[in-house]
Amino acid sequence: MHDSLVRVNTRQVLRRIVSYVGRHPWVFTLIVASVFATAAASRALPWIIGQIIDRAVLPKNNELFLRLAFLYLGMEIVKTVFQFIQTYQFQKFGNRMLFYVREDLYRHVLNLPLDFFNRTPVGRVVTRMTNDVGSIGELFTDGVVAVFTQGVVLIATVVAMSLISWKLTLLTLITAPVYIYVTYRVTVRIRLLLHDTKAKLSAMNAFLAENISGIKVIQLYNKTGRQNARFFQLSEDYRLINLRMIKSYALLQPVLNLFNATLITSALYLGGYFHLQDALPLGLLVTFIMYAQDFIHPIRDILEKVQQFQNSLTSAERVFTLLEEPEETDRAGELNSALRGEIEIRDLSFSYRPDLPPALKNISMKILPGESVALVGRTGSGKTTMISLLQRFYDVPAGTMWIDGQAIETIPRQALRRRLGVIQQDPVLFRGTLEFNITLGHPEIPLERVELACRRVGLKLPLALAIGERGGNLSLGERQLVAFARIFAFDPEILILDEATANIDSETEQLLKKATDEVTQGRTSLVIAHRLSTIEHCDRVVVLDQGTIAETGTPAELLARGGLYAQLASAGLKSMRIAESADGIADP
Amino acid sequence: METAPAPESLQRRPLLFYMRKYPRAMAVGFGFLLVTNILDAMWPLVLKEGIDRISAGVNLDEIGRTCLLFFCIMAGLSITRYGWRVGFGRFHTLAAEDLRLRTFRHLTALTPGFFLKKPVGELMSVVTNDVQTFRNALGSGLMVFADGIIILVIVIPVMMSLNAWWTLQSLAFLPFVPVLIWWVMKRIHVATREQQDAFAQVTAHSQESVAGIRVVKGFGLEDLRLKQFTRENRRMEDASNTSARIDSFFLPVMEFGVTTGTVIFLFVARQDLLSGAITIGTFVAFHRYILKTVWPMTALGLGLSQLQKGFAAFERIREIFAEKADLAREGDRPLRAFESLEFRHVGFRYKGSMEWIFRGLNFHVQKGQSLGIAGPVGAGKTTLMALITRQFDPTEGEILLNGFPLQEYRLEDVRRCLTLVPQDVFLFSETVTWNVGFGLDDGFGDIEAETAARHVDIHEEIARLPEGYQSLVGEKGVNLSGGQRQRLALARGLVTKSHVLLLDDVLSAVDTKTEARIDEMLKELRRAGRTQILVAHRLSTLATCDLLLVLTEGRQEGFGPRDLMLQQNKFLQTLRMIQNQEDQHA
Repeated sequence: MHDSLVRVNTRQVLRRIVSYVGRHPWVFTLIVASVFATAAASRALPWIIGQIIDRAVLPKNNELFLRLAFLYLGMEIVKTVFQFIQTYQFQKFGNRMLFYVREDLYRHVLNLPLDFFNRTPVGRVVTRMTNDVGSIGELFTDGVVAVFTQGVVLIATVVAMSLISWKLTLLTLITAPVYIYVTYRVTVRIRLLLHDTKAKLSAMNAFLAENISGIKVIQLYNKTGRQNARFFQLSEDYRLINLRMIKSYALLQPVLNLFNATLITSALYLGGYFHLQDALPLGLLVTFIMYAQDFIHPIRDILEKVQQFQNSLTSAERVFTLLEEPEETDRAGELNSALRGEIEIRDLSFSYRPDLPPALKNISMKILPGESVALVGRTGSGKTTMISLLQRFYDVPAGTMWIDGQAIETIPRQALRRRLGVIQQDPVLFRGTLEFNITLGHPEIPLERVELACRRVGLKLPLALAIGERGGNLSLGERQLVAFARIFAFDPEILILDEATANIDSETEQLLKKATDEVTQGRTSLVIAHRLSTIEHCDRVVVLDQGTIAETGTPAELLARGGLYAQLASAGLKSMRIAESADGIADP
Repeated sequence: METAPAPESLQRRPLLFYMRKYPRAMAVGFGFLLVTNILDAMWPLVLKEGIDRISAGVNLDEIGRTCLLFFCIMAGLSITRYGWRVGFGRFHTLAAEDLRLRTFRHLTALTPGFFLKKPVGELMSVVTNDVQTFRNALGSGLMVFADGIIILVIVIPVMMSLNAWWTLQSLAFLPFVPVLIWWVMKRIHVATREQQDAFAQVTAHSQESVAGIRVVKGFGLEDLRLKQFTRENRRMEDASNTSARIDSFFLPVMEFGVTTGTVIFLFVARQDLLSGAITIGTFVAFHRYILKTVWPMTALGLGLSQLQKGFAAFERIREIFAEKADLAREGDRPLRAFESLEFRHVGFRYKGSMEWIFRGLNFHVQKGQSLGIAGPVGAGKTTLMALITRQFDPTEGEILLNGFPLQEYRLEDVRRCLTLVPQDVFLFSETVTWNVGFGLDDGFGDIEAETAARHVDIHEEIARLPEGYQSLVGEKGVNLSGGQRQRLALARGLVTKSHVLLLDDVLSAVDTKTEARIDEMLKELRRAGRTQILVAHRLSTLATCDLLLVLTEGRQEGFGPRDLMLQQNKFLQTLRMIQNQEDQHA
């Protein structure tokens, strides 16, 4: 996250992980213990075979043979049981950890200041909350688990070999470092290629997505052939890197097979020599050779999984960096009584960052309870900033803004926002029923109130109607009406209405006009207005220009005065509203 | 690359098709695989020889000779295993590429009707995931399956030759393994799907909260949303745990055959070992062979499962191949210039829909004229433009171009003659210049782009961009406003030098002053003889056209010369009233 204010390093990441793991220390201990138990039981099997040869077959001891065979059976069962516990519990443990991480992250993200969301794209935040968390999960299921368990297997194997004969072990493994190094080099190469392959793949996929989305233009302008040729090129690039990648992967084969050949051959030859010297019984030699055969697999697994491990760490770093973002302060708390809805602003100047020019300069105004005020001005004149400050998305300098005589910075954010209803230009709808979208899941809002709200705004859809993603199955007008209905359901004392700029059909426009009249009644209303008809319904107009109040008065007065308002009005307000719809919310 | 997409043999037997298409890679892969498995089956025998010699107490030289042979076999494996991977790798990479290209080519040749019913995400998934899944089936699926069978075919006779009776008894449980693996894989598949489902829910919920953060915060919903999220989160955990539980069975199931096999072996080999009827070397080698059967059994299960998934994926690809472009025919009547366009009783409804978009359209435009189309939202104006550019064919009636039905010309020629600038702007993630020159062949540079940009009054805005005409636009590029995007799309249409320009409400997001300037430019073009058909909402724009057509509620409310229409048409009069009112306000 390049524009993040904070950054965590690997050590902090590990500390975080440890703190999560620490929530269930006993489960974790059990898992680690079962890893060791599995490794030990697996190592015991070749040893029993060796013992059968040395103690039962060669001395021809039938009874001991049987006992050892049963021991072998028992050991197989032990191994299988622990192996099951290990894989299942490790994954389950990981799932629990992920649950915690997701929960913490979600809570944290919702409590971040709006400023964070203005400088971070939605997609990136969501990726952190979903894919990156999932990638951390692989630490528990694939990455760390594999590296750790295979590490234990490797160590157990070396220990078991050394217990038979450390001299033989040393001699057999003398070439191991060379092979491990070469294998490591190959995996590094694979890792780099993997990176390139992914890049080529995503280039191809991006092209693909774009061409499917833009197919109409491509066909209308007769460019199918040319675009096909470009896709062929991308596909060929992908194929070539794929083939290189396959070759690099295949290169592991000669290296590992030679390693294996060296290990087992030297175990056989040197073991044979030791045996001829009477230093090593035949059965133990067999055991030793079996261990040597087990040596390669864990090494290969570890080297392969290191990549995954690193990916997971990168994801963890991103997630925990996000967790370090400072949250909004003084959020919780309640208001003592209902608001009357009086807003007073005295000599307010505000800039988003010290190095930016002020967004608002020397604003002073007073809005009485129940009054409706239209905010008018070009893009960047400070309308949206005013609204954001009222909602305490940003903090005003102390002693510049009061609600009902109480300094705004002393009002808990959440409580304040609950008393301020906002209707956005492009209303946000959630998946769920229409009713859910009006109550937003608040259990205290009774059904009657929801029904009443729908009636008052003229929304004629059934309450049980399932709303699709982002309200896709509703028209813009209907979505607007839902936002209006929310206001009736929540009944806030102050209303902020950011009028939609988009063209809607005239019937819906009539409905919206009526709803606007209804919803502003008995409430202090601040309307960012784009239509003259809306402005005319307001008690007062405040015209903002470059962060200052240019004019204020009733619509008729201002029109007569022939100032900025009259100018804007003569442009049909259209140029103004166009610019705005293009920029979206005008925060920096 | 061949041009004929999706021959019959591919659609019927994709596996066989690609084996025939890339026989060399295939043969190299199989050849090396076979040699690998023969060598791999040999070395335990040599090991047996070695151990027996050691136990017989021979001298070190003899052991050394056996070891040398042993080493040579093992070293040979390192070459054959390499060759095998590379051969198979080539095979499935080439096949996947071929299939991907065929799918893409087929897809891009389909008509808008197809894209209406298939969301982009789904098509993406076919060309990416399904092709990849099929590749896995061709690659690891087929390879693993073949590997498993070859090993069994070689190893079991070798074991039988060592001791038939042991073999039969110790491998008694082996045949169950592939069935068990198959079963576990199926359950894993189901569990994974549920897990993906839960993940999708978690993602959707997060997406909504973040995208709607202003509402979440504005209504103080943080705690409520968290509570709702926790439910999804818990479901995700549960689904993952189910998946983990099944997953954990995989390893024990995989090893079940040999676990039981080695134990049984100990018991059945006991007498022979104690009596000295067989050597310790044979015992060790046999034990090794039993262990060797883990993989083929697993491989059969895994391979089958992958092949099955691959065929399911291919099924979806085949569905796309089965789609035909739904335009009836394409003629080859030469089309050099534009003379006239005429609609005769044209009606249209979408395939499979009972509802007419419009019916009974009758109008005509001559060379050099301009036609303005007006009507309320949903009257079918955009569909009308789509018919003219032959994205769809009319359900009834005829569209005549220069007096002959549209179908008698080549599609490409029709679209070269009539350029549509659609209402929904789509820009590619390329430079400004690239986008403006999209409809032309090569040789379009910044200078040409600038000329076009000046025409649509956007040059200054582009010049202000950090990299000017080389700035990337589109999804990954600089943020352009709706009006800027519209003007770029208009420029893209203008530069094609087509005979007829069709503009579908292309200035809706452009401010009034700029709009007036562009209107002026369009008039200029008309005077130069370029026919124009435009959908517009503003009376000021409509008033510049020679002819006007009004569509309402699926029918033609009026068509005729401008002045007549402005006087008589009801819709236009209402429009005038509203817009006058607005102007008076101003």
